Amino acid sequence: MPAFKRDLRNAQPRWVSAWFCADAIIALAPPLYWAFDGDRTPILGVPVVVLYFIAVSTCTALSIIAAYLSEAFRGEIN
Amino acid sequence: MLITFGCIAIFFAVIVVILQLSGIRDRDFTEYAVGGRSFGPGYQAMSFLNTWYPGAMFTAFGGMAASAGVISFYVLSYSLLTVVLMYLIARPVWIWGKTFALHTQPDLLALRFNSRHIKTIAAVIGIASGIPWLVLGMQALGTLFQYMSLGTLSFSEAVIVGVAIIALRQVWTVRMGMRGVVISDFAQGIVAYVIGVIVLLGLIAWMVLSQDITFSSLDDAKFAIPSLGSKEGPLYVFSLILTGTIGGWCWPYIFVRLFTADGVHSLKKSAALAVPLSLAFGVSLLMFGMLGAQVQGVSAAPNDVWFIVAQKAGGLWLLGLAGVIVLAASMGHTDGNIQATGAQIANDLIGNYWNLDQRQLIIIAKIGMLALTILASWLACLDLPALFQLAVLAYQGIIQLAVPQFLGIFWKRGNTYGAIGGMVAGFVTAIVLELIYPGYLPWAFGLTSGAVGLAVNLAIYVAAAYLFPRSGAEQQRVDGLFKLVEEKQSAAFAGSRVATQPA
Repeated sequence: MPAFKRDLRNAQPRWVSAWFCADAIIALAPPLYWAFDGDRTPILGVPVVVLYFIAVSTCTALSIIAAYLSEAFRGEIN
Repeated sequence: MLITFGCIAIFFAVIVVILQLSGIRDRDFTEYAVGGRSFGPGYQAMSFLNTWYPGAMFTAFGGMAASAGVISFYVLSYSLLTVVLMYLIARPVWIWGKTFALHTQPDLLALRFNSRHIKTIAAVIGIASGIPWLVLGMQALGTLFQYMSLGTLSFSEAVIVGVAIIALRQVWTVRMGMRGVVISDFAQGIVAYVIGVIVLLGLIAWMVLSQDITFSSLDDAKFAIPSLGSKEGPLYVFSLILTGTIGGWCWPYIFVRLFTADGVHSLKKSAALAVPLSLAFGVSLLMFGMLGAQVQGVSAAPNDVWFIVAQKAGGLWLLGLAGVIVLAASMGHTDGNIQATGAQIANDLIGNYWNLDQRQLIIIAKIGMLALTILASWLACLDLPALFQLAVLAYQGIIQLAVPQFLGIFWKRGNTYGAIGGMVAGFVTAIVLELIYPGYLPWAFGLTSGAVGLAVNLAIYVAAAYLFPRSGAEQQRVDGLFKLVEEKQSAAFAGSRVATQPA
């Protein structure tokens, strides 16, 4: 299937969709946050469990910015 | 007291001057309800943030970070994930909104499911669920004005002062409609989240560098996330983040932001602009709250952490600025809530059964907003101990709009029977479970009542989609709606191909 038709079927490029799915998984998957429960090992003075939440949020924020820049660069947002 | 109330008075005057200078006049109901679909990405981003993060963020969630610790970060996770959802629904919702002159969330449901009654049901759920939060927001101002009065006012007197000021502010919301809300959101948002982040970072630096406060001196309980063997249950955090994420776009005052933009590009760019500020605000506020727990006096009153630390670090001037920041955030949420509800009363309840012209719709919206302001102000001055529980319950209820809303946008098969049946069954399930098991369900591994209601809702929606096939005409109508979005998307893609070809 030509790339153009594939793009028409999927509103987002595949890598953006994959990144959005990854956002949901790392934020919601219980085994992931269970693994950080109570982990106060400091990295630059900040406990790992706090860094886990900051990393999840940063990943989500970056995915939205990347999605927008990707669409804007290709001129596909009307 | 002159300094703190002086800061509040100057800020209030600046907002009123901005609104007066904007010289807004009502032209038609589209102008009044969705600001004429004319706002660019900057206004959209700040308007979303100012409605999303109320003043209670500084008290309720700052307080939660101080008292419970790292679990409070769930609010940041869902606040960002919900923007992903917005990014995905932006195109179909905006295109349908523009093409079919939609003004509210129930308008969209009525269009998708071809039903007048779904509009009424969605509006009633939205309005009823929004009132407790409106009242809570007004009551939160009680804490603000008690601190601004340096303890001179009792809490009940401070609530009355706060309610009077926020009610006075609604004069401009009622007069100017959505355009006034969005313009003032921009100014309020800069104060609440840009200046707010600067103050938060300054206070964190003060605690770490001057007071030797670090994470290492907090007790272990502050780093716990409910997991296997916990009191709440292993799925409690999952449930909080899931319902927060999908529930975010069920609030009428948030959803209507999708209709105020001047295009899909502005909506998507506003998402990209809003997330860095949302991230900076959330991280700094929650880290501030956790560290602030160690400041003297905070453990006894964790919800006051913002005011206690600001006063200790910077005296009355910083306390005054802290008050202005909370007021700016509170105004944004209250204005957005009242404006969206007024528009729903006119458009989805009265206008759904009587044929009203543009002028009548605007007048009814204004009367609705005035009545809502009076009702919420009166309730806020009462002693309502169960209000917070009611607000939590309302949240579990409002997310039941999510199934017809999101599946209706992305899946052609759903029908009006499944949408109405699922929504009502989910809403009733959530309320009954919340009343029996407030907070979380011990037998469901910590899932909240709303999550279980959502599963019931989804099951009914999907079952009805297969059990009750739609007529050929209805199938054709729904196909046409989806084709419209695909055609617009194709046009954008084709345009980009032409534009990028060499001359």
